[in-house]
Amino acid sequence: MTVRVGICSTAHTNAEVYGSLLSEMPEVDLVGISDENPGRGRQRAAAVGVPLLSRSALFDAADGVLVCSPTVDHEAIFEEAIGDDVAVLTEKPLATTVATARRIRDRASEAGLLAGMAYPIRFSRSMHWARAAYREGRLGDLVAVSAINRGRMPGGWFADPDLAGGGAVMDHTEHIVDTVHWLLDERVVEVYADLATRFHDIPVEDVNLLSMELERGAPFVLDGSWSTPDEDPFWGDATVELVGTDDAIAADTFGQRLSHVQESRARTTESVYWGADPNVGLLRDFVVAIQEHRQPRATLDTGVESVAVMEAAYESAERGEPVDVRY
Amino acid sequence: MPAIALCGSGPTVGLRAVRYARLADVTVPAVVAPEKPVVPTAGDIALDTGVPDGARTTPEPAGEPLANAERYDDLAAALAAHDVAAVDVSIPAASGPITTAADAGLPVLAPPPLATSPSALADLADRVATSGAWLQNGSLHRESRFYERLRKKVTNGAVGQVGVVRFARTIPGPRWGWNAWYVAPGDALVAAAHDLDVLRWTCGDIERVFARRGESDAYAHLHLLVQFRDGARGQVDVTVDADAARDRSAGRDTAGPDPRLTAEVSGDRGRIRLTDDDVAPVWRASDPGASDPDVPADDCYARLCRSFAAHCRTGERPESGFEGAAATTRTVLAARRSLEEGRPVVPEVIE
Repeated sequence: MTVRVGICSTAHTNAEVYGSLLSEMPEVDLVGISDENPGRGRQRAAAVGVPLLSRSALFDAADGVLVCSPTVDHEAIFEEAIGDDVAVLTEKPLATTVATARRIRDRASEAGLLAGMAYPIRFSRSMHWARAAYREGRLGDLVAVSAINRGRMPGGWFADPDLAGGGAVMDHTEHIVDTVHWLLDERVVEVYADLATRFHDIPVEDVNLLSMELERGAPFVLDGSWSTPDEDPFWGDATVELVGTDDAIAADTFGQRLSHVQESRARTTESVYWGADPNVGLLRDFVVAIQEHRQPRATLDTGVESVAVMEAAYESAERGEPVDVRY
Repeated sequence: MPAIALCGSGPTVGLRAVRYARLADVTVPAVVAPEKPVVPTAGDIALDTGVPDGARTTPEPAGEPLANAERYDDLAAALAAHDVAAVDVSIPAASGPITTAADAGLPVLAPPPLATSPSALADLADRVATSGAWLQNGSLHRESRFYERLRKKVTNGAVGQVGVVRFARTIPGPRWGWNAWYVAPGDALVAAAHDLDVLRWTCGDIERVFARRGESDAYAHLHLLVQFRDGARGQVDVTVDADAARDRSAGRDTAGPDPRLTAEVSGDRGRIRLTDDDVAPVWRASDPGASDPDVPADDCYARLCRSFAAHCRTGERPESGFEGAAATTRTVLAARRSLEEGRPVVPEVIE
């Protein structure tokens, strides 16, 4: 069965990536793109050869949509999807506050909406190796987790607290926190956050250092700063290291890269990821979920949990001390 | 001719003894260690370039470096028996030997942390001030070409305003190699002291520390989040293979993990980054430890020993003395307090 998929807003940089991948999937009919910014939307739609549609037309035409809007718009888009019974795979975070995230999840659940979070790192083969090693007992009991997920400052609405709910914490905490929850089957219970604005002249934090504690007591540290220079040959990184009582393993989502020196541009080197694309796994899971009438692997519950950790991080930074996460 | 007494564990004393033996005018008449020191085989090559005057360049100095040294259990006894000009303390938190040396008016080389409690550090400060003796901060990173280059670049503004400094490592390292100063310590916080010292050296005073750790018999982990006075942030992340650390401390070789280090400074105008891919210009299938072209005649240990001997000869005070080592010690003690109390701690006010 071919699944009709649309992209709702291209405000998020990943919309372009999703559009390109979806247009190449034989089991997918990419029916169109809607965008609150028509100029941008027209460009993105033309790039993958699909029409620019109004949101209501897109929801009429699609079995499922990828939501790539500013975070603050998610709740309204979910309401529309519920009304039209269109499956949703949403960019993270689910909402700018835990209260809103819970409300979205509860409304979707009551309506029986098929909906999930766009957490591609769950589909990283390196992370699957780490998960298997841990779950098969080869690492022993967990001693500690150390992770990084830095990136370039994306600018635009990502750095607008009204639209994004914050800065680097909202953008670069969630992928790794969700991955660690999924790897270990235990959640973060306490967060100490050291936040600052040091790299850019923006009204939100770009330094995002989190020291966390997991349910069974292991420490978990994450650098999720927007510290990657604009001229860096790669956009960022996403690694998780698990230290156990018997062994340690480090998984790098984008560890398989090649260097490309371009002579046409002065001293420019590009770093190119050539490993299996986790976004393909993410999109395929969404398509299969629609075909099989099941929920995507990363449910909205996981989205609520991630926002709870981020909200605790902001509270910790405000108070200058560790705080408990309230799920 | 400086006569230097060595004070430490067997392996750390052995490392120093080999380096001092390469300095033509230095003698080591006394060793204070719990057991007969194991003097490691240098296994290096002859150098004919780049080694300063006064350092021998042959692969092995003639004879056993400690053949003429007597072993003692106690530094005071060693000082009573020998005419010693200075004391090299190669183990951390050795406030007892440092005090003994200072009371005798002797220069001391000692790594941070200098003490295990704020009161012991305060007492040490009083004794050093009263005696007029001087102490050289024995943090080996300050003699590393990499950390020196890193510091120069950062202080010259190569990355602009510093945002995040991140050091992450797995220890112990190989027997030799550029990262060899992590051969011995099994205590993650003691190992982190070297990184904290470099952080202070590179980015200035540390105002606040938060620490967490996880421990087991085989592996241990520690991470520290720090705030610098100028607003920059730092992270130190240390994972210890405890079995390998115990073996190395006892002078035994074990398989252990590959040495791993990421050192990174990110600023608003760029990033400096070093990983293990950047430190091994020599590869040898049969010996993973043979990955560094530096040799005991001129590695970090040698440069530290040479620097201390030079200060002893001239009487000129080192750039980083007691105050520098004490400031790093206060940061380590603040981290320990943070571990105990689960809150961020200000090093300046720790009591």
